[in-house]
Amino acid sequence: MNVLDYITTNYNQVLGLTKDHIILTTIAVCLAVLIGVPLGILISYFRKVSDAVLASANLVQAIPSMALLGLAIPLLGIGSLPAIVIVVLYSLLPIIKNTYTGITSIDKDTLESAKAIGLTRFQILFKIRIPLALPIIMAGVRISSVTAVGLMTMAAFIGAGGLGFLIFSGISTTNNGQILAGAIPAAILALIVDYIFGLVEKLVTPISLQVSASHTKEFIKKSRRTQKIILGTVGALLAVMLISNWVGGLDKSEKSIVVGGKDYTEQFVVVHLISDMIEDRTDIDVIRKDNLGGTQVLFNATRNGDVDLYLEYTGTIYGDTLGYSPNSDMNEVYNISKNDLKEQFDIDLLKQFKFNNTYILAVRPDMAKQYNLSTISDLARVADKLTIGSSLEFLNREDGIIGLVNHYGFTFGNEVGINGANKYLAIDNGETDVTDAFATDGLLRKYELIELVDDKNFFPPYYAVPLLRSGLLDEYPEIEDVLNELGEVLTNEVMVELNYQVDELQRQPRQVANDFLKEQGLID
Amino acid sequence: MIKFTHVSKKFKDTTVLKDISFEIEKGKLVVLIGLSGCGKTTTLKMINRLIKATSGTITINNEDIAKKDKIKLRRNIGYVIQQTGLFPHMTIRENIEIIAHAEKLPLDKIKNRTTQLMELVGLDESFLDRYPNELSGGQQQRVGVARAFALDPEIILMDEPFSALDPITRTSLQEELVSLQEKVKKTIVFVTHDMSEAIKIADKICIMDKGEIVQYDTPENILKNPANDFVTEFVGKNRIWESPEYIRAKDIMISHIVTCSSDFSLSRALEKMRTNKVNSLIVMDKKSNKIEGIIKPKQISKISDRTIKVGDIMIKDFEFVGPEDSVVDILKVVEDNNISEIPVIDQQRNLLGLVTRNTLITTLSEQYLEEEVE
Repeated sequence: MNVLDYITTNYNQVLGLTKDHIILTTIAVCLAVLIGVPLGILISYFRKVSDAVLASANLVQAIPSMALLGLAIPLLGIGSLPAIVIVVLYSLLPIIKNTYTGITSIDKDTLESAKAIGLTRFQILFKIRIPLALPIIMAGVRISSVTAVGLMTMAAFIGAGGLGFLIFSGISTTNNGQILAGAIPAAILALIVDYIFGLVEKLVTPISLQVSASHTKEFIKKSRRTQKIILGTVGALLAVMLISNWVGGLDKSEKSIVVGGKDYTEQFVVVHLISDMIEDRTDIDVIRKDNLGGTQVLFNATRNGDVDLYLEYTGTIYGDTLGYSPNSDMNEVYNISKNDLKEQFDIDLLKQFKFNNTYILAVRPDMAKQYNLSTISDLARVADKLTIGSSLEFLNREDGIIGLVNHYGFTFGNEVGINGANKYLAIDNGETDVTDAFATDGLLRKYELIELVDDKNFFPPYYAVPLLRSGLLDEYPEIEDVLNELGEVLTNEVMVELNYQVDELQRQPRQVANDFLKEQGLID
Repeated sequence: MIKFTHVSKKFKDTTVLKDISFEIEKGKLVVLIGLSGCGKTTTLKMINRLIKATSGTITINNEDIAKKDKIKLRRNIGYVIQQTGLFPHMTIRENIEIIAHAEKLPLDKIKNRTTQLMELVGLDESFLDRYPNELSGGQQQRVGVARAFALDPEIILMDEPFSALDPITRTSLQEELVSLQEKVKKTIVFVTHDMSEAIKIADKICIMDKGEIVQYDTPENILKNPANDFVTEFVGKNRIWESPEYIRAKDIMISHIVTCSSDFSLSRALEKMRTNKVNSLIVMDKKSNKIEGIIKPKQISKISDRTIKVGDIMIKDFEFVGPEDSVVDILKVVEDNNISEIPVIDQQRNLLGLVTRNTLITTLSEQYLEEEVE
C-alpha cells in the first residue's frame, strides 16, 4: 500500500493526527517562548548565573529524548502533558541562548546614549534592547519550532497522538505507506513552520537594517503588508484550532474509561476488540490509547490512573513487574500475579484470556533444513554459528535470552537488538538467522518462519489478562463479564489470524477488530 | 553653574581623576581637552552620573547631583556622542521624541517642538520618517544635537561629537554650533582632542593631563600664556596662526615712537625725521600727551615756507587702531588706506604705540621663520 492510498483511505485519521500535532507543537513552542525569553533576559542581567542556566539547558538537550520521556512518565504520567513538557525542555536552549546573545550583544554606545538621555532600565530593555535583539531571538524560536515539530512525533509513544502515531504504527506493522503518511506531513509541517518563523524574523527586524540595494524601503514596506496578512491568517487558524480543541475537550462524557495498549500489532487489535465490546455492551464511552510504548509506560499509567485498563500478559507481570524468576506453571503464575498486584498496587486482574502469547524462537525454512532444526535443543548445537536478531526487551529479560541460554546451555554467535517489524526484515534478508517472536505474531506467517519447539519447557506462560486500575471494578462492575466473554473466543489461532490481517494485508486494526467481532456475533 | 569640588575617581587601582576643582559658568561653552586617558571623558560623564565620583562633590546650581534622581538629572541634561548615539531601529522622529514621550508630554507639544528642533539644526522635516542609516554622518549628528535639545535642557554635554566626520562637514558643524550657541546660550560642556576645534568654539578651555587640570582659561590666554611646557607642547607653537584674530595691536606695536609737538617748524620736523630715519612724526599735545595728528614728508614737500608750524598742516583725520584690534583688522586698515604707519591709541586718545609695515612683516613672517628653525 503506498502513501497516497493510505492517505486517501484514512484521510480523516491523518487529518486529525496532523491537527493534534499542530496543537501540541503550538502549545509547546508558546510555552518554550514564554519561559525561554524571560529567562534569557534575566540571565543577561545576572551574568553570574548565566553559565549555570545555559549549561543546564545544554545538558537537557544532551539527554536522549526517549530517555527523558521514560523518566518523565513516573512523574507526569502519559498523554499530552509529558509530551509537551519534554518538547518544551528541548526547545528551551536555542531560545534562551539566542535571547541572551541578542540582549547582551547590543552596541555599547547605543546603550550608553540610551542611559545618558535618561531612559530607565525598563525603558532601555523594552525600547532598545528587546527591539534590537528581536531578530536574533526569533531566529532561536525558529530553530526551536522546527525541532519541536520533529520531536513531537515522540508524543505518540505516550499516547498524546500526533503524526508520530502513524510513524510508530507503521514501523510496528511494516506498513511503509503508513510511516510515510506520518513522516511526510511532519516534514511539510516543519517546512511551513520554518517559513512562517522566517517571516516573523523578517517582520521584527527593523526596516532600517533590511534596506539594501535590491530591497528599497518601499519594497520592504509592501512585502511587509503581505507578510502580515499571511501571519495573521496562520494565527487565526491556530486560534480556531486551539479553541475548537478546547471546546471539543469539554464535550467529553462523564462515563468514560481509557483503554491502553502497547506498541505492537496484537495490542493495536486488542485495544479495539476490548473497546468495541465495552461500547457495544455497556453505556460507557471508551477512549482508545493504543501505541503507548512498553510495559513500563502502561503499568505506570494504570497505577496513576491515566489508563483504566489494558491487556497484559501473565509472564510479564510475574517476571518483570513482580520480579520473580521464570516459572512455567501457568496457574501458579496467574494466581501469584493476581494476589501480589492486588496487595501491592490495588490493581485487579480479570480471568486469563485463551491465548498464550509467549516467546518463541523462529528460523528461516532454509536454515531449518540446513541444520535440521525443529527444537531449541537442536538450535543449541549450532547456535554459536548463528546471529539472533531479537527485540530489545527479549535481549534483556530473565525469561528471554539470558534465561534461555542458561536453561539450554549455549550461546549465540552474535546478538543484535532490533525492535518491531524490522527484526523480521532482518531475518528475511539474511542479516540474522534466528529471531524471537510472539506466538501469535502475524508476521510469522507472512515471512513463513519455522517455530522451534520449546522442548525443555523454558518459556513461561504469557496468557493475556486484563489489568484494571484500582477501583475501576467498583465503578464499572459490568465490564468484567464483557471481558470474560471476549477472552473465551480469543485463541492463539484467532490472534495469529487477526495479526496477519493487519501486518500482511495492511488492514486497519480497528477495522479488523470490528469485522471479527461482528462475524462472531459478539456485537451488532 | 556646574561646580566640581575636590573630585577624584578611581577605577580599581588606577586613579583617573586627581582631586579636580573647577567651575563652569552658566551659558558658556567649555571644552575639555587632553590626550586620551587624561580624564576628560570621565569628567564629562560625571556630570550626568554615567560615572560616579569616588570622592568630592559635583553641584549644578548649588545642588549636589549625587542627591538628585538619576533619571530626572539626565533628562535635564542633553547628551550628544559620536554618530552611534542614535537608535538604529527608530526613525528620526522617534529618536528625537523618545524622551518627550517618556516624560508623557502632550502630543501636540511634542510635535511642535520637533518641528522647531529640526529648524534649529537645519534639517528638512522630510527627514523625520527616515532611519538613521539613511542619513549622512553630518545629518545624523544634527539629529543627535536636536535630540539633546529636545527637552530644552540648560546643560548640554557633547562627547567628541564631530570627531568621526569628514573635515568639511566638521568645520561647518563647528561653525553652526557657535552660531547656535549664540542664539540659545546653553551651558555646553564639550570633549575633544582637537585643539583647533577647541579654539574655534570654546569660551573657555580646560586642558587636562593625567587626571589633573593643567590650565583652565580662555583660548587666547592659553595660546599666549601657556601654563607650562605640556600646554605649549599640546597647543603647538604655531597654533596662534590658526587664529590670527588673537594677535592684537598691543602685542606687536612698537612703543619707541618719534614724536613732535604742533609748534615745531616744518624744517625742524623734517630734520627729526631724517635723523631718526622715520617716514612720519606723531604730533602730540605737550601737556595732555594726547595725540593731535600725524605729519609726513609728503605734506611738507608741498609747502615752500618751511617756517610754518606743523600744527597748521598736520593730518588730523588720521587712521588709527585700538590696542585690542587684531592683526587682521590692522592689515585691513593698512591695505584700505595704503598707509605705512598706524598709531595705536586708547579711547582717551592716549598714544600707546605704533604699528608700522615693518612690524607687520616681522610679525607675519615669524610663523615661517620659526618653522625653519624647527
